[in-house]
Amino acid sequence: MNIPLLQVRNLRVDFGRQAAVRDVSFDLFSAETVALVGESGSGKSTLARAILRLVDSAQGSVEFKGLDLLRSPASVMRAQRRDLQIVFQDPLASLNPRMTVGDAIAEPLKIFEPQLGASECRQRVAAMLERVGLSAGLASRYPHEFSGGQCQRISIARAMVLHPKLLICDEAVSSLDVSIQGQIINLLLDLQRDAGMTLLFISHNLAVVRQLSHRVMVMYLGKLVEIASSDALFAAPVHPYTRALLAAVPQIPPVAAAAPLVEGSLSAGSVAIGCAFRDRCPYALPLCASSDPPLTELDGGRRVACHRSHEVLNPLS
Amino acid sequence: MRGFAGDAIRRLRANPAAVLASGVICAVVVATLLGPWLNPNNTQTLDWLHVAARPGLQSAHWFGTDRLGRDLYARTLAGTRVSIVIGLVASILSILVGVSYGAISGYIGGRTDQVMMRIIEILSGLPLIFFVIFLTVIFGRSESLLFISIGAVGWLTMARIVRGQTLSIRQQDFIAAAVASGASSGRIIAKHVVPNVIGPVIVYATLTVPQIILFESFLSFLGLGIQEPGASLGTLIAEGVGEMEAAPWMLLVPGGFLAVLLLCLNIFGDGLRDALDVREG
Amino acid sequence: MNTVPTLSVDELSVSFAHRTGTVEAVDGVSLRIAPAECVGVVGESGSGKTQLFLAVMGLAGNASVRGSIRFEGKELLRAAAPAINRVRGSKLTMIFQDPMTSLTPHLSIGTQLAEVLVCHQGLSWGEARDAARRMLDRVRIPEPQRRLSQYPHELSGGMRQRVMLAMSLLCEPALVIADEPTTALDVTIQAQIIELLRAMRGEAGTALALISHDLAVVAGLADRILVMYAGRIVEDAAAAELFRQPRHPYTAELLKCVPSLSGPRLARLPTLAGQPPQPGDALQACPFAPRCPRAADRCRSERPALMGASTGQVACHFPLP
Repeated sequence: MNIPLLQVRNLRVDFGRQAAVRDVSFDLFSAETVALVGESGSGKSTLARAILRLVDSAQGSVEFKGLDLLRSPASVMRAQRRDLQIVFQDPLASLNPRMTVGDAIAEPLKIFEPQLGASECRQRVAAMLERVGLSAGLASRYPHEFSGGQCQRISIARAMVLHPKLLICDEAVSSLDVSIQGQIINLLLDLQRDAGMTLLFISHNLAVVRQLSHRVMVMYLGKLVEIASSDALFAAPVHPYTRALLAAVPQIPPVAAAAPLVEGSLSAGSVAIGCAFRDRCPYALPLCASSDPPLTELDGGRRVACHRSHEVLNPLS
Repeated sequence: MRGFAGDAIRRLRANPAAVLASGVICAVVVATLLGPWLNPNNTQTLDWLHVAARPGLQSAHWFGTDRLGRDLYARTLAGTRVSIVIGLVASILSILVGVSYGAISGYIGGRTDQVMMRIIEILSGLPLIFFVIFLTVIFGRSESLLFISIGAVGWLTMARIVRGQTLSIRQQDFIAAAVASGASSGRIIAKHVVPNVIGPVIVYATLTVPQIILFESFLSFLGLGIQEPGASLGTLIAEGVGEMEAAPWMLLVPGGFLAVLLLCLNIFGDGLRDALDVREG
Repeated sequence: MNTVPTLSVDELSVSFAHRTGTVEAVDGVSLRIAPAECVGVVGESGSGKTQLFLAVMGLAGNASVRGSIRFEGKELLRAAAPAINRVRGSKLTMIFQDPMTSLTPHLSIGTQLAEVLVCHQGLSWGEARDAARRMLDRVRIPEPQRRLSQYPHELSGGMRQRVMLAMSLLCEPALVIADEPTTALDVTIQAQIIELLRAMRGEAGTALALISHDLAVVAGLADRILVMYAGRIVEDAAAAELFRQPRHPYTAELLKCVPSLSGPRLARLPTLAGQPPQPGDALQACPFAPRCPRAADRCRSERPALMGASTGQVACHFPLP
């Protein structure tokens, strides 16, 4: 029986009076890549920051290697950070403009391994730069001298220098050119494979997600609506939102949408009771307005939060 | 800092007014340091033979003398030296205190920030001259009092500026990345916040120096600061005002020095702000 | 074809003064857009696609623009300001990428829309607001009457883009330039906007220049596609042809890099080594040569010109068959 590396239970994060993350529970295991997909307002970035305690959670627990991060004192949490890292979306904003990239990569080393001598530190930084595909001599340069893709490599180097057990990538390739995205994703896959690390890949780009994840979690307005293996989800999505999401992705060559496209957009702050998606859902029942469907397990290990998930809904071709 | 400092210096050099102003400031500083070597008169000797003498390069007293026969050249240079020292020391103090206060207040936020800002607002609200007069009445005149009152002024606005900058920097991803890397608040403030607010700090500091010099001159003019027989531009101007009709050089020389110094510091400060404000790319 | 092209650009170059010298954002671009045609302009960052159309709209700022831009046969580049202003905003309109910043925050939607009609067609404010409401209906904004008195910050991103689209269609333009209109939007909203653009084209017979870095978005709409790289057009072909049989190596590599929802799952994503050149980078004769799997000595010394039949042009010494 595999013990999960990360266990999130009933997590709630409030944003003023709104709940950005509502009652989210899931597990992450070692050496797997799990994608978290959703659109703006889904709460996926807030969830990532809440796991890392970069924002405060109102309720719930986050157990990492058996330790509840949310209830640990700050010093214990800080000690855990060496195994729990994140790469953000905006490549240039993630790096201190007044610090050389070498110093930026070295910072986690200086914090967690203060006994390292200066030259050993330099060597580790150089090794990390080479590992992410940059030349070691660039360590004395400043972030503004690099391109977006290179800055992301530097952020990845910084996140990986202590060999964390879990790496969260929050839209890490979304700002990059198409021809660069593949380079960065391949780098992440290589690093993950070499280190046996768990990767939580947050993205709104389903096509990218399909290529690199073992499992996919879909979020809508703060709730997880579907969790399934990648193959199963893309072959036959069950939740109406997942189906709408997949149908909306433009393709080459263009395909006619098989499931009806949803109209309208997220109405922030509307949902007090019932299913958050019911206003836009083509399959909504009166039941959906009064009762919020919980994530229930279906055959094959898939979990879906929909009152009608047990019905046989036609899969997308 | 290589990239930023280099670019800023280049932009500064391209600004003729700023270059001229900085040249004049350097000349004045050099004069105050080396000046006494050129003319042997000191600030205290009373030359009864040349009381209230006019300035002239032929005479022993290049800038003339005052009512008591003291050499104005020596006294003006001494006074300028005092003003510059006070300006520098007070600016440095205000930077140290203001930056720390503002960065801590802005980064920690919450109740701490609220309390710290209230303190600043209360101190800003005090009518400073009355405060100084009040202290003088209680403790008597002294130079340390002068430093205390100037010190009370300088850091307030600096702290506010730094706090504002800190609030906007705090939202950036690289701060979150530093937290995620396990950095303590102290480390983040020192290594991530402060280096990124240095730009506005330097500019504001350059513009506070003239303000402080002027404030000191004002206090001394009122009789609250440097006292006889010490010289400061303020006391010299105060004496000069009394002799305006009979011996106008007693006002014009120290007044001229003060005006030129303030003007050049302000021009240089503006040039520095323009040079540092331009974003990369 | 005897009809005058709606837009005719010849040897257009846009350059900026930079502290290190002059930087070319657009380098000798020529293109034609026929009436009611939808042309997709595809490229990555630094390709010059946005600068090209900003220059067409006369919004190039400090840049120096050389060449010729003819709109419905009339030269636009050196025309007098009144002539340009008559055309711009009425017959030649543009939708920008960021819906957050493209609408004036302190004016109501109704005012901003009506202003277009009052200025360009001399309508009264009342008539203009009526026409605006009808247009909001056409772009499928629910409750159009209520929206007229709302302010931009009260609308979502998708709504704002619909308003921008409405604004650009008010005077029945001959050409609408849409610069990354869906990039800042969610996938489901993007699908709605693409659907809307498709419907608008059918109804109004307006030509559309769709600029995007996303080939898939363009695939659903464009009749013809221009691929840009380093400020130049490297391929110009009918959309179906381009996707079936790309002729320029960059197009082929780019298509391989786009991950798809169908097709096999790969252990590693296909990549293109290096990065797209930015304006100001030193370039070889063919700017793609450093990254091109087919590059030869000729590519480094001789600049390839855009050549081919009207069905498909490519700027390459060794195009794919």
